[in-house]
Amino acid sequence: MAGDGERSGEALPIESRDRRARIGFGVANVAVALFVLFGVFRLLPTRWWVVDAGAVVVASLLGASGIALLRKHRLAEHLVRVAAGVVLALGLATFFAIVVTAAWLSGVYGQVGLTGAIVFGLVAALLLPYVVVLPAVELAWVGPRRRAPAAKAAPREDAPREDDAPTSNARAEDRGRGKKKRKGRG
Amino acid sequence: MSARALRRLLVGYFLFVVLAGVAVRTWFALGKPAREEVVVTWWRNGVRVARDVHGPGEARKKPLPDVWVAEEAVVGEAPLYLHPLLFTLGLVPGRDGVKATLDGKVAYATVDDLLSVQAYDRAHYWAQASFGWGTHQESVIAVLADQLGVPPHEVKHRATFRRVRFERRPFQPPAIPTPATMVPIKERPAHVTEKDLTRELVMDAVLEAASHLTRSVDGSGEFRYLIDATTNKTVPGYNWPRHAGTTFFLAQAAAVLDNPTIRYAALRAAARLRDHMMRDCGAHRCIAPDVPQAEIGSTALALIAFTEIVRTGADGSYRPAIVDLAAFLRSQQRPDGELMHLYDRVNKKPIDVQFLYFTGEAALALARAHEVTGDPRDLDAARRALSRLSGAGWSFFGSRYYFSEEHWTCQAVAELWDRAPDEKALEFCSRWHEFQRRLQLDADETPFDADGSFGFGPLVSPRVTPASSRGEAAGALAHVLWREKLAGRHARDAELVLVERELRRAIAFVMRQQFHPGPAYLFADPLAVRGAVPGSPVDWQLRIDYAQHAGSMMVRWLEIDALARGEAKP
Repeated sequence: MAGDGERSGEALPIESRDRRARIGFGVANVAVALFVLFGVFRLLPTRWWVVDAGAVVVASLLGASGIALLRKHRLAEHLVRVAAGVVLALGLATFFAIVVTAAWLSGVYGQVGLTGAIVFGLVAALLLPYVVVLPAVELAWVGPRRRAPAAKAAPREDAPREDDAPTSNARAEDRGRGKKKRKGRG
Repeated sequence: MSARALRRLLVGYFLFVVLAGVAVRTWFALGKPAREEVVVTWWRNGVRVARDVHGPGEARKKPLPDVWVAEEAVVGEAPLYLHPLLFTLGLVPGRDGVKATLDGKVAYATVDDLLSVQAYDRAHYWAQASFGWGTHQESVIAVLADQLGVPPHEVKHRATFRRVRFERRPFQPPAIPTPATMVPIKERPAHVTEKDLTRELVMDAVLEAASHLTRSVDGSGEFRYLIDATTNKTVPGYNWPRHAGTTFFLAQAAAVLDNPTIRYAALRAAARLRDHMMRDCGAHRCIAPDVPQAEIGSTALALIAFTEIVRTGADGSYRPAIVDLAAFLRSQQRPDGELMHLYDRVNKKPIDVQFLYFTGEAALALARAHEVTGDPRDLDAARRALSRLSGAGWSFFGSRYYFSEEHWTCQAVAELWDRAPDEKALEFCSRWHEFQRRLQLDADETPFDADGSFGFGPLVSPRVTPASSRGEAAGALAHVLWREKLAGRHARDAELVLVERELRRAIAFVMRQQFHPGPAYLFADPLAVRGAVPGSPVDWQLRIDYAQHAGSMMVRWLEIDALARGEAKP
């Protein structure tokens, strides 16, 4: 998913990526951010600073990265990397806690039967897509941080790229001239 | 991070998670005990008086003649930590105890100890006091401190703890003659299952439950509403709908058993309702305490009780009260069939709010009232209430996959089936039972003796009353299906088999929980609680409706059994 940039050890600039993927990830991040806020601050019956603060951090990062992706902001790539990394770390920690708790309950209670398996499976199924799969895919998509500001990579030939998006070189030149080109959407 | 690095990270992570899960499970699973010990405890009036722990082949102390002797064998051990995250659900209720070691001295908080102080399912509560979960740590520490002879805080901070699995063995009663008040107990299978159910067995369970409630009715006709079984103390509080429901069961039991003592108790309780609790509710009469607002649940359940008293010939003088109460319920009905559940006695007008159960109770009450009064308005009101309950009242996106408490609704379906059959309501009841059968627990689904119960999950000890109320409803549905079968309509014969099995499993579960006499050595007064039905295998608060729902379910099974044998008319 990261394309040629990955193989060369450098990621593509966000503007040069598949437009559908960029918009898809942007919408997904904003949706998950809103869902986290709604779930924690409207559905949970009591307040606990650990969960509340975590929700604010996750929602802020995902929301900001989602909006940045949708607006093709220059910080989008960085925000996506940070947001996906943080959410993935939290997701893996949460999943670890669930697995260990299930293992502990299984050790203490011995048999928890089909009902226990259904509850565990349901929680995992509800959690994994948003806090593990989505950030992992986004991390793979965004690729590693570029080593140098002047990107050499070209868009994949087979990707429906946003042709009017400026290359990193062009952006660097623009910045250097103190101009800011406004490009229409492809 | 490159995709390859991410892939490696995730693969490593999942391997680590699997290994961690296996390690945690193994660490906390029960292992062979360090020493095969048997904890022998002497009990008198529900209080532990002495304890002897011995290994295999070691000499035992000779018990005093006036104590009950209970044995609990240590069959497994595992680590236990006092941190609330690990302790609250760290013991399996009713099966696990705690071993504490302090300065080389060992003490056990056995299952019997923890039951006697009601420590299980008491750490936290859901919604109301009857739905607790988790073991109450302070109670456990207190039991251990008592035996170690040190203050509880010292045990908490200095002792080491192990989770211990106990195997409780049959207890030995005192070596002195049984008091004359303790009538002999009829033998039951050690572990009642659905296959063991016979008329005699179920009749005995009904007799025991009704006798317990009969002993609980005082001279004024009031019950001991809530009893702590271990201390035989009455817990404050009262509930008139449950008083009325329990009166109904006593009237049922009196008729089935033809027992004058139970009948007299039923009539005392009924008289309390009619002569002291019937008050003006505008132009009508209702059952209510002398407060500004009356709810219809008390009236509906009193009506159900009074109709049973008249129907069984216990006392025909309740007919006028039936007419009055039915008129009040009709006046509370909305044009769409729903009932307004409160009445403002000051401003003399209904209050259009709805609570759980009341509309179903009113539908059943009006249907039964019609049988006595012959008033077509009662039948029509019952029919419309049932139609509302099973139709527009439960129609929303997802209503096929989520249900409320409908045990009264199903009983109303059965009550009306001969006079105003409602196919849609029958379908609704049938769907409800299909849903409930999915929730009915099998023997291997939990660590508890929960086969036949309707659980909230594998970690919560099974509640008894949900099994009883669902059993009542299964009995009602089975009664309809039997009538259809006997009428030559066989479309639902396959369903009848499933519903009857659901009912039999529920009865078997409830019978296993009934104090018959239960672990009598843990009770301050074993006779006072004999025949009672507890809240759960470890919650020994005895509320009158626990025995009522259990008994009414069993009476319904007896009716079905008579129908199936051809001993009763459809």
